[in-house]
Amino acid sequence: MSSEEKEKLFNEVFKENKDRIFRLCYTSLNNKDEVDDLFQEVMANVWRSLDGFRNESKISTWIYRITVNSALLFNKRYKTKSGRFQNLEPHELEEMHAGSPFEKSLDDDLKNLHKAIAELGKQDRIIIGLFLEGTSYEEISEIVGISQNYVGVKINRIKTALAKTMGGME
Amino acid sequence: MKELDVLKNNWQKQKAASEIKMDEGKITESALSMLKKFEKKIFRINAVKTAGIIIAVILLIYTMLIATPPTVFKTAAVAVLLISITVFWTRYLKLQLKTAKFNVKENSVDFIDEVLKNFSAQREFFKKDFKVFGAVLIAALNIIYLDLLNGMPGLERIGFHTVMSALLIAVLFLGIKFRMRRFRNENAPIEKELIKIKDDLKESL
Repeated sequence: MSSEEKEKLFNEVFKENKDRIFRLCYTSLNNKDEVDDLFQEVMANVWRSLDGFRNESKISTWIYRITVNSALLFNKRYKTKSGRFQNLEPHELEEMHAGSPFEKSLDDDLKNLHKAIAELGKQDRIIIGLFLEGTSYEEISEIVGISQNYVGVKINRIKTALAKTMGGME
Repeated sequence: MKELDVLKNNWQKQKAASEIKMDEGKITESALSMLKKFEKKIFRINAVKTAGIIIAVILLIYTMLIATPPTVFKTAAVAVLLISITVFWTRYLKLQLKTAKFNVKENSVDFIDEVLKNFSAQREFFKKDFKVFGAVLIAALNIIYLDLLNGMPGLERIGFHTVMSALLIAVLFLGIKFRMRRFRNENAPIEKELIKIKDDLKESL
């Protein structure tokens, strides 16, 4: 792939997927303040990996996989680097960062959904993030590395947990 | 409270908070991470090569000076080989990419120049120094053969020397060709990307 082709492909990928990637970054993060950093890291990783993209999987699956791997590493690094947030519960972190421009743009239902998702475990946050993006069970299974049946089981459990947290949602 | 499937539609309408562009720090980090990966790969290859060279040198010393009676010619040739291998290999290893030496924080563009300079020095090393090393290697091995073939008719000896030297020249020629191909396939794309990053950074400054 020539550098011009690479740049063109990257710009297309960026344009088509930036909102999706941003949402998945936001959902996956422990500390929402870091979303811009993670987003940029994902885009840097996408740029670096473009040469290796072989069209063997859907570009969305490929991008999601990069996002998920980057988010997991990012959370791990953040946990190691930052001691001061380590003892805070997810909802406390949520409250600390409730004023970000992204959150201000959300309606109440979405704000509540984000809050409820923040209470979930890291893998569950990723799975529900992918589910909400309309990703198929097959793709989620490929991205997260668990069986399709288990994805189904997980999503049902997550839905129940979210309903419980949000109160009344089915 | 709405159902999750209804929220799903709204979810997908959420826009990224702002037009985020790749900032200078991230680009530098990305370039550095790419170089570190490359450095690790080369380190592993060089570790295997070093082990190979050590084994070859031990075998050479054993065959020439321990298993068979040492002569002045053989000892001199082995000494020349040892010195030239040590000098060549030390110089080669010193020229390898060492990302830890880069002063990335102070100036994010400068380290790209350092890498490009380093790659260029490596290329020059193979174009010039490797040929000198090859010539020394051929000379030393001819000295060893001069001793080993002692007593053989003159014409046959000349034949042996010629064939052996020609073979070595061919191997060295192929070695340089192979190395240049690796430069084209591995170093050149990195150089190209670094130049692009450097240009992008300059534009954003």
